[in-house]
Amino acid sequence: MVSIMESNGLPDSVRAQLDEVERGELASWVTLPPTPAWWPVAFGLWAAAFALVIGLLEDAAQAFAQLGLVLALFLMIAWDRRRRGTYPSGRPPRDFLGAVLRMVLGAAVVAGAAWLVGAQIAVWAGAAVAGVGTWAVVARYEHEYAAIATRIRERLP
Amino acid sequence: MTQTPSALDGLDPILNAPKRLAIMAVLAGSTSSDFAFLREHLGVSDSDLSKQTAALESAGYVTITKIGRGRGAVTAYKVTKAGRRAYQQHCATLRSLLAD
Repeated sequence: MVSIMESNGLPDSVRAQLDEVERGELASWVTLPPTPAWWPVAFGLWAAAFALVIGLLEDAAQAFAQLGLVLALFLMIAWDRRRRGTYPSGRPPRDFLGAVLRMVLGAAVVAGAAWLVGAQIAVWAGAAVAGVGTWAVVARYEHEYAAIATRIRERLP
Repeated sequence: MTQTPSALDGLDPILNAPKRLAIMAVLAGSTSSDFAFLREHLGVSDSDLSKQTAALESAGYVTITKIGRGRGAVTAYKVTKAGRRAYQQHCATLRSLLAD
């Protein structure tokens, strides 16, 4: 309170604190090290493995393999979280919504295409579509995300 | 004699320190953040950050967790419910001061 009350320019002091608040709240969204090149590849491999598990395994074997894949996904996210030193929470800044929407739509299209190819042609072909498609969607999303994060950082007071 | 409530009453004395407010802002926007991330964001020394986070922990505004052992150990900070309430109240008061 002293810092504000002793200030001659109260609005400036308050504005400076609110600027700091804005920078801080956005920090976990926009401050991140570059994504390693293998990151989208890992997601692609994960998606291909998931398609193979769905298409080739049954019953307990399928459930067990799915559990392993979910665990692997959690480990990847935990690794990313540790690498970043933080993890965002709450609603993403509006700037990211377009990229998130395109990623979700892209993932849905890839899942649909993988299922169709897997059912009509071969499970292996479906898995290939899932792998390559997921790699492309994640790579594009990471690229877009990094560009948006840079723009927001430059815009912040 | 009764005192008239002031807009400044809504300001939290713990959060009036700019570094502590900045730490709370980062934690409010994240599930948790580690020591290195906070130090980079604030541009402060290890000892200064430790002092500020200790004050926030004493006030019950953050929890501090040590993950792992040895050189790979990480200290993670998370905002508590009381801390989030105090932070939101503080920010609302700042905004109202600016609006007045």
